Amino acid sequence: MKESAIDINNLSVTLSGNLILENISVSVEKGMLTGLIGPNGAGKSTMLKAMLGLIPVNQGTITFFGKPLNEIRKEIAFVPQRQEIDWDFPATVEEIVLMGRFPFTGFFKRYSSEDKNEVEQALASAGLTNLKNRQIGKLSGGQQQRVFIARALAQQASLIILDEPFAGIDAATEETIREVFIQLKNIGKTVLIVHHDLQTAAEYFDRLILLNVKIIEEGKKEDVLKEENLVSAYGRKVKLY
Amino acid sequence: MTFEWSANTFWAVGGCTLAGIGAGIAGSLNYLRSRSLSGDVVAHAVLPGICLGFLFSGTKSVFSLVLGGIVSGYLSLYLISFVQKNSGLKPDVLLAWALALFFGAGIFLLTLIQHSGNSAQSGLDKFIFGKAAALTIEDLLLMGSTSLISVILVILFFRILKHYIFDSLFTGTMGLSSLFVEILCNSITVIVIIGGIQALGFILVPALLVIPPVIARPYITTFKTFVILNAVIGAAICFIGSVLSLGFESLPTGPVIVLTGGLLSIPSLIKLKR
Repeated sequence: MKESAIDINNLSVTLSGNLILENISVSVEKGMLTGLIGPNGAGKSTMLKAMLGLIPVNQGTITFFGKPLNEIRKEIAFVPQRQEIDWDFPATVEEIVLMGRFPFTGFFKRYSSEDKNEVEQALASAGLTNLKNRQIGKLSGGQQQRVFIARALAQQASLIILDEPFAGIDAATEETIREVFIQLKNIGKTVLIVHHDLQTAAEYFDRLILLNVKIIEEGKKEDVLKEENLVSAYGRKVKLY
Repeated sequence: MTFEWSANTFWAVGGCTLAGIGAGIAGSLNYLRSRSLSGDVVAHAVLPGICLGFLFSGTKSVFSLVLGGIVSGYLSLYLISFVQKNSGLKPDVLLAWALALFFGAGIFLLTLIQHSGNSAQSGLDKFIFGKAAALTIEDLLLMGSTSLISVILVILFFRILKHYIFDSLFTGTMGLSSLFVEILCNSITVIVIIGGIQALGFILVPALLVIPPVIARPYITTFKTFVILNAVIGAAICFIGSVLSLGFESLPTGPVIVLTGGLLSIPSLIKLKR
């Protein structure tokens, strides 16, 4: 039996009277790049937020590496959708990446030289070293996404969860970010990514979870991307190139 | 221009300037939270609390009036979050809704009190336009303490405020309660409004929270410099405005402070022009 990074058992979520997630039971394998796919409104972002305790759930249990969220928060880095953030916020790239050191400093302790070193390394890995003093509002969409990835790197979390990191960025940046994910996997991290592009899903991920209110299918990408699964998730045939 | 630096002018200029510091800080936080109107709501919502404080205590003691103001001011912001969470209505309409509701209640109570024949009530209407020119040492101490409390709260919870306002999902996954930060931000707003209302009255005091971020906006680099710059700007417009108004006998202090801020925001607006 493979070790799992996330185990979700019988999770249901209702938002403003609508059932968004129904009896979700699924595991995310440790050390893998897993894509969470499904049509718009399938509940992908909701599933992430419910897992992380950001929205109330009707029922269900969620464990990370066999432990409840409260015991293992430090090991989880969450990267929200870029559109959910006010990029006019007055901060430099370096300051945002420093946020990732929170599990080590808490909200009150001063940043140590180790914190600063980790931030330097994270900035370098994300290719942001020469932008570190730039205002976050003056970055391109791809650079903003890399800032968040650098923050997750500085946090040194074992599990990194990203909501649509490839949305609204150019092809070159997409490639850079993908390389970062592959590096993360190579050093043993688990990465779970909400992704909307079925065309690239097969190429980018080891495993897939296909969601539409319920889990349609999960497992190896070849199995998940079968036509009957896609029809039942999207309600029609979807052509894969 | 006849400017005499008497004790009274000192209380007036000092009190206004101190109030400006806290107002600038609260304004910067509200601006970044897209809640700039919450100062307006609180300022109007303080009125029914002040009236109730007077009705219960029967005196104009600062303690009962301030306590009443804090309770109703806070209640207005809590009501907004509560209704927003349970109705899904947008914040702008709820801010305006709560403002109108509490202000209506305030005017209702104020009229009741004024017609009650209680002689102690004379002077309650000072809260409407403020009494900047007639501030006393007690007022100055109250305004100084409200600003000091806001400064201490921001320094103490600096990183929490910065991280939460930028990315509440991140702080949420770290286990930080959003309720705590909302209470913190609301408390700073309410406290600062209570201080500023002495000088400017509740109609003009919200300007002290709204104008500094507009002036500071083109110059921001970090959260820290933004908050500090807002505090400095808040103090500066209050200082300049109160000195100007006290120099000319017939000029009302509150409006001159607000107009000073308005004029000083023009260069920033030009700088922000795309």
